[in-house]
Amino acid sequence: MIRESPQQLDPLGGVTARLLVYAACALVPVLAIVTTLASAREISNPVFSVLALIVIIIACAYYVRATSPFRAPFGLGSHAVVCLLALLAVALDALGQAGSNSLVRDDWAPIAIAALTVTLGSYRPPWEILACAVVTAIGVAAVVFAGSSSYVADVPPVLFAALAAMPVLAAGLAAAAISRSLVLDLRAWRRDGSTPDNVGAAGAGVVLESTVAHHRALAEQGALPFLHSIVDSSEITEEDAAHARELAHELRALMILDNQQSWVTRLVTGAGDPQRLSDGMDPDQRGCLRAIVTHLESNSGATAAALRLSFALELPGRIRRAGATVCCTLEFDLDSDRNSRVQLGPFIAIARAVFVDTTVEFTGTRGRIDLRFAASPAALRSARSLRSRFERDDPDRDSPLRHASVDS
Amino acid sequence: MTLVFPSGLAAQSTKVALSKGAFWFAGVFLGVAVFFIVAISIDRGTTLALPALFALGIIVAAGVLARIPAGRYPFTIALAAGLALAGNVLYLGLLFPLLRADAPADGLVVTLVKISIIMFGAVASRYTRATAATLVAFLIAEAPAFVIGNATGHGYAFDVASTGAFAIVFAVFALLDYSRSRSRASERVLVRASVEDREAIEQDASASSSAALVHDTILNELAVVAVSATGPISEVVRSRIQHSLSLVTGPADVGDSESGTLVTEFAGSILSDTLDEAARSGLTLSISGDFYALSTIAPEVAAALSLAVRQCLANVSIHAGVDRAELTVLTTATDVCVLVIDSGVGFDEAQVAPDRLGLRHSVQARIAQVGGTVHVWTSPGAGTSISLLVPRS
Repeated sequence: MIRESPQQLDPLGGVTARLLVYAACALVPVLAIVTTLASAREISNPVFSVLALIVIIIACAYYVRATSPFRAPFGLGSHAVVCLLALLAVALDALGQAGSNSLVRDDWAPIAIAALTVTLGSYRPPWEILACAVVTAIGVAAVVFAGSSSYVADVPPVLFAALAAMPVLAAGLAAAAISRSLVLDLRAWRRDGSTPDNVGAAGAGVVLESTVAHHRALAEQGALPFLHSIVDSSEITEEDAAHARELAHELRALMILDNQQSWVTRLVTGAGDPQRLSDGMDPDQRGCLRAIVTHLESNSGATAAALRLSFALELPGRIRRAGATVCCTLEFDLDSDRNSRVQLGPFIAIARAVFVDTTVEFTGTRGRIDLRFAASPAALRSARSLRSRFERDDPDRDSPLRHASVDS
Repeated sequence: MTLVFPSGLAAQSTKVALSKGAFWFAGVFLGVAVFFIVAISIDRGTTLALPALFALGIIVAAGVLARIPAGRYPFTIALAAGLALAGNVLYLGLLFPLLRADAPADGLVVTLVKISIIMFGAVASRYTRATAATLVAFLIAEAPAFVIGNATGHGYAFDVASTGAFAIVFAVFALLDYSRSRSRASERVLVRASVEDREAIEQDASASSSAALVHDTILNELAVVAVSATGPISEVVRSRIQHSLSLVTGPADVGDSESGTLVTEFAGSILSDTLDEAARSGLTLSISGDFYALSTIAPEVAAALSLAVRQCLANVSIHAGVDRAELTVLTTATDVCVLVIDSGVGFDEAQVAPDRLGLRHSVQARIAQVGGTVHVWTSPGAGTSISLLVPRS
């Protein structure tokens, strides 16, 4: 059974499909309102009919909100909420026309559910879409069958039920087929090789970072010739000893400087990661962070100077491996002339797939992204030692380590 | 990056997925049409409409032709279009005369089939231009209804449902192309970032490897020269410096030397040189465990392990304040673990000064580069135990 959703395997696909969600969620309320007005003579209880319209509008609004890249991935809970709200709208619409509904064909509810269902193909696993569609279709059929006594067409009541359930079933089957096809394609692509080399990155104009091992030059040009001269000489002089001390001092200083530099400090000038917590990021997480920074510097009006990148260890209650995370915080300025938030969406969708947790905040012209990933064992050991030393030195002070609010 | 599906593949993959979805959508509609015809025939006690099922079979065949791999050939698509047209003409030709005179031309059993044909057009879209295929399918669905409806006196009624279905399918393909061009604009940045990241990590690894070697050789020898008594140079010191220089200036460059000379050197002896050196420095070692297992690790791993153990023992000599240490080799099916234990002064990991590079570079980074892990158990006054876990070949 396929348990992954296309969106989990291809977060950008979820962003692409969202335009269809927008279109469906714009179409459905219009369809519902127009159809309700056109068949107003069949309404026996306007309150229920109005409530049905309100509920379907809420369902659409919720669906649009839940498929936002800033809330990705679209989950089972959200899927269930959309289905239940749509079913509720069907029931309310049937109540609004109870005893006076003469035609199934002019009921908007089955069409509305079908329109919403067919767009789920990019967001949920196939079996789940199909199961939800079958349940919803049964619900729709039951509601229609219960009110079939008022229909004017001279056909068996079961045909009314089949007619109402048909669009929902068709849309569910179509969405499940779409989801299955996408997941199988994505799996095959990953299995066959999904590294950048295989996706045409060769022409991406990669600029290599400059070599940063400062100590190499001194070792090769200063220390090595000196040690060769010592080996070739017959004695060690005071000057030799003094020069050796000087070279050792300089070499050690440069090695410390090199050790304090990492890919993070080269990515964002002045990035704060003294504990080298960023070493715990996996390649996808590093690539995602680097892409966000590159995007912010080039598209959102943020400059390298306006970017702030820091790392903090978050400990859930007492230190232990399970649950401890590192929070990578990226703060930046936004260009008010650009739709920066929307442009950031695809990157956040990827971030929400590769990081344990991703949150985004916009305050005025300032943005903040928190990316959380599992703390490495080395980071935890360091934190354990730091915490015990801190508590030993001054147990009444708050620890400098950040604590998660929930002790998981 | 494993989560960035290239846009070229995504476009084709989406077309195929929509094609499959449209096929099943049409299947359900045709199934319901069959169900309606059979149910009404049973309800009315007549078999007049049953021949229309044959016409529906022809339309299904058209959909299957568009769906199978052979649907990529223009001839197959043309044949599918011809079958759909013939099936629709036959279906409407059989059905319309059976309808009541006042029955509308957009009745349910007509609309269901028209929508199915439009969806089969979407099925064909994976090998053709989606919008063109859908438009042709719409014409195949509507034109016979117009002609036969008028010929049989039912006239032609604008079919909201089938026209709506056509508009939706048409819009889906158009919207997807537009939306993909927007959302996938980030793809280039993400792929580039992934490549840059690999380069950066390789640079860091190279710098770390270089630092470990410089620390173990050049920096150590400079310290020896700095504290040596002035006067004639001893052969021990000269030989030691020469050995270090040979490690650094061997066949490989500074950054890669661990995979050059050292591999050959340590492949045979693994820890013997390290133990000899520790003994010369005055350290008494208690050795236990399965040393034979060391011969089962890869040469480059053995080289890294040997250098890391050497640094651990050097740390015992210099910092632990004791002249004894234990060296134990443990094995599992997949790993070899070397434990270096002393009962010296220990230390606080959080208080290790930034200039104490030995443990960081020469032990932890070096072992990590060959896929191993290092664990340190220590606290002030309680000695130090370091485990170096490396994979077996």
